[in-house]
Amino acid sequence: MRKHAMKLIRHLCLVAVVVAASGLLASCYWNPQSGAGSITLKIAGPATRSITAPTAVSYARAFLYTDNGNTLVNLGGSVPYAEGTVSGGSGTMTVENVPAGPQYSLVLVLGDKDSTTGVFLPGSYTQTSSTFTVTANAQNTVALSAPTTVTGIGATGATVGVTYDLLGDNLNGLTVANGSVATSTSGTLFRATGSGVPTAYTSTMPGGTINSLSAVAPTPSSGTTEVWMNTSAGIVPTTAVPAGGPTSGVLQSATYTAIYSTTSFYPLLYRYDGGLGGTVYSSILSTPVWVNIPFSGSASPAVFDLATHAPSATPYQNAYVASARGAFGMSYTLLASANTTLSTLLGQAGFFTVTDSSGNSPTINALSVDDFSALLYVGTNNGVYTTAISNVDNVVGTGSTYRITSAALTGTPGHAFRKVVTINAGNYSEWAGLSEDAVYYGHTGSTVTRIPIAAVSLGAPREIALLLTGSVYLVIAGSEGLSFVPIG
Amino acid sequence: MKRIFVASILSIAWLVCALSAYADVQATVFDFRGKVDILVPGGAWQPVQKGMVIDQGTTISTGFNATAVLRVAASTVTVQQLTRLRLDELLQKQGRLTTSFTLPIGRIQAQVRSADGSPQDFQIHSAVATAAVRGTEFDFNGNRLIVRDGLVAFYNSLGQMVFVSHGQESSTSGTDTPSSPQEALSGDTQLPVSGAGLPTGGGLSGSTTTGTIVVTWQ
Repeated sequence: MRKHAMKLIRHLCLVAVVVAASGLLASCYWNPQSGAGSITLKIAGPATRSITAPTAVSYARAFLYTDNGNTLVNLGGSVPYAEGTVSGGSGTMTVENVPAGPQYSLVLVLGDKDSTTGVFLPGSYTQTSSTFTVTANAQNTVALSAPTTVTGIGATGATVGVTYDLLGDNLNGLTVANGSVATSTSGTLFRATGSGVPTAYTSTMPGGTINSLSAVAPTPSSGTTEVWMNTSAGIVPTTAVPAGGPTSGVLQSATYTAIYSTTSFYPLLYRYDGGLGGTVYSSILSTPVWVNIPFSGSASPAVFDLATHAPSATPYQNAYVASARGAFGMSYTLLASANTTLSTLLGQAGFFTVTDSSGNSPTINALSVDDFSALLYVGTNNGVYTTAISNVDNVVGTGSTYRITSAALTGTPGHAFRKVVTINAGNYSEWAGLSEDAVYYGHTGSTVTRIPIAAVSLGAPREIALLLTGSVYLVIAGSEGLSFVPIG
Repeated sequence: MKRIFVASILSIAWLVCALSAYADVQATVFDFRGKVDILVPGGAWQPVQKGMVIDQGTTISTGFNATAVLRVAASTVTVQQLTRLRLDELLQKQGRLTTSFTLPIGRIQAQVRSADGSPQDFQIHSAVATAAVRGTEFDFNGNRLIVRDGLVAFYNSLGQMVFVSHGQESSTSGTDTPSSPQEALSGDTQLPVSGAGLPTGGGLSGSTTTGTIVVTWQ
C-alpha cells in the first residue's frame, strides 16, 4: 500500500513538473491581448522559399493606361487588367468594353500562377505600347513586339533572375533597416535576418493596424537599424520612444541626428492625416516636448512624404517635407517647442519648388536624401528632379523659396511620381522612382532604366525600397507579395 | 477733301471701336493680397501689380494667405491661396467669348458673367476634370465642384459629363464618372486645396460607347 502511494506521488510530481514546464514555455509565446498599443514580436527562422520568375507562361494580362500612363484604367471588373490564357510564343488577346476616345497605352505581361496561392507571377512583358485610340463599336488592333523576359542585372553586369516572396500577402509597408528588408501587411510585420528574405515577425497586433514602416535610428549615433511601425494607434517601435507621443493615425515617421555643440539632440518627426508632429529629445531634457502641427484647410493627406539624412552621415540638422502647403526643409528646432504652430513652421521653413520645361511648378509628392551625392531627389507630378541639398538648406529658416530649375531625369517628364528612394552603395549611389505605370532607376548621374511596374510587381505596387547586398536590389511590396529585382 | 475727312473720321471711329472691343476681352489683375507672382511665357517670375494685363500662357501663383482677383471681361476669377492658375486661351470670335484656364493645383472661385448678353465659353481644366460654365458662380479645386449659381458642365478625363446646378456639388478622381450632383452641404463653403493630385484608377461605369482591343504579339 505504501509502495503504491509512493508510486502515485512520483507520478503526481512528474505531472506537476511537466505542467510547470509547459506553462513556462507557453508564457514565452503568450501575447496578452490586454496590452493595447503594443505589438509582440518574435523572430522566425530564415526563409527558404524564393520563387524565380517563371519561364513557362500560361496567362497573359493586359494593363491599359490613359493620361500619358498616369491613370490605370479599371475595365469595369474587380481588377484593373484583362486576363487570358496563352500557350506558345505568339498570341492574341481580346479586351472588350473599352471606352472609346482617349489616348491609351498598353502593357502586356505574360506569366504563370503559383500553384499554392494562385498569385500571378510575371515572367515576360512588353514595353509600354505607343499611344492609340479606341473607336467605338469596332475592333482596334494593337500589335506588340516580342515580350522580354523578366530579369535583373547583377553586380558584374550579368543577367540575374527576379525572385518573388511572401506570395499572397497584401503588403502595405516596406523599408530597409540595417541592411535587411522589413515589410508588413496591416496586421503582420515581416523582417529579414541579414540579406535574407523577410519572414513572419509578429504574432498579434493588439491596439492598431500598420499603415507603413519606417527605418529609424534608435540612438543619435547609430544608423537606421530599427523598424518602427506607423499604426492607427501611434508609433510602435522595437525600442522605446519618449512618452507622450501620438496615439493614433501615424502614416510615416523619421528620425535624424542633429548635433549642436557637444550635446546630441535626437529629433523625431512623423506625419499624420492632418499634419506633422514630432519631438526632440536628448540627455539634457528630462521630459520631451511633443509638437503637433495641424495643416488646417488642406486636403488629406496634408503631408505627402518626409525625408531625412542617414544618421551615420554628417550630422545635418534639417528634415525635408512634401506637403499640400508646398515642399520645404525644416530645422529640428521647430520640433523642440510645444508652441510651434503652422504659421511658425511656414515662416521659418525653407521652401523649394520645381520649374519644369513648360515653366510650371508641378506638385512635389515624394522626397529622398542621397547622402553619397549630397542630393535631394524630388518626385513630382511631372518627373523626377535633383538638387544639391545645400540649395535647400541655405533657405531653411528664412521662409523664402529655392527654385529647382535643373532638367528632369531622363524619361521621367510627363509622369507623376508617388515615391522616390535612394541608397548609398559605398562608392556610388542609386535611385528609384515609382510612377503609376512604371518604375525607374539608375546610378546617380547615369542612364535611367524604365520597367513597366506590372512586369515586376505582385499585384498592385504599394512601396519600393533599395537593398544593398552584394549588388543593389529594387524591392517592391505589392498587394500580392514581394519582388526582388537586381539592378546592379 | 470732304470725302477724305469723312473717311478719316470713320477710320478713327472704327479703330476706337476695335480697340475698345479688344480691351473688353483682356484679363487683368483687379486686386490682390499677399505674395502673388506671375510667370509670363519665356520670362521669369515677377510680382503682380494692380491693373497688370494677363496674357495667354501666363501663370499666376499665390502664396500663403494670398489671393488675387482677375477680371476677364465681366467675369471674375478669385485665385485662392497656394494656387497656380494658367490662362490658356482668351478669344472673342463671332460674338462668343472663349476663356480657358488650367488649374494645376489649388482652388479658385469664379463668377462668370456676360456684359452684353453675348454667349460665353468659360472652362477651367485640372489634371482630372474640367468645369465648363455659362453665367454662373462656382468653386473648383481640381476634382470637386460646388456650384453657387447657374449651371456647370462637369467632365472627367474621359469626357463623361454631368450637369451641376445651383446649390449642388460633384466630384471625380479622373476616370470615374463624375458623381451624381447632390446638394452641397450647408456651410461647406471652403473646398480643400488639392493634395498630391496623383491620378488614381477608376471604374468606367456609365460609359456608353465602347470598342474592343485586339492585342497581338509575336
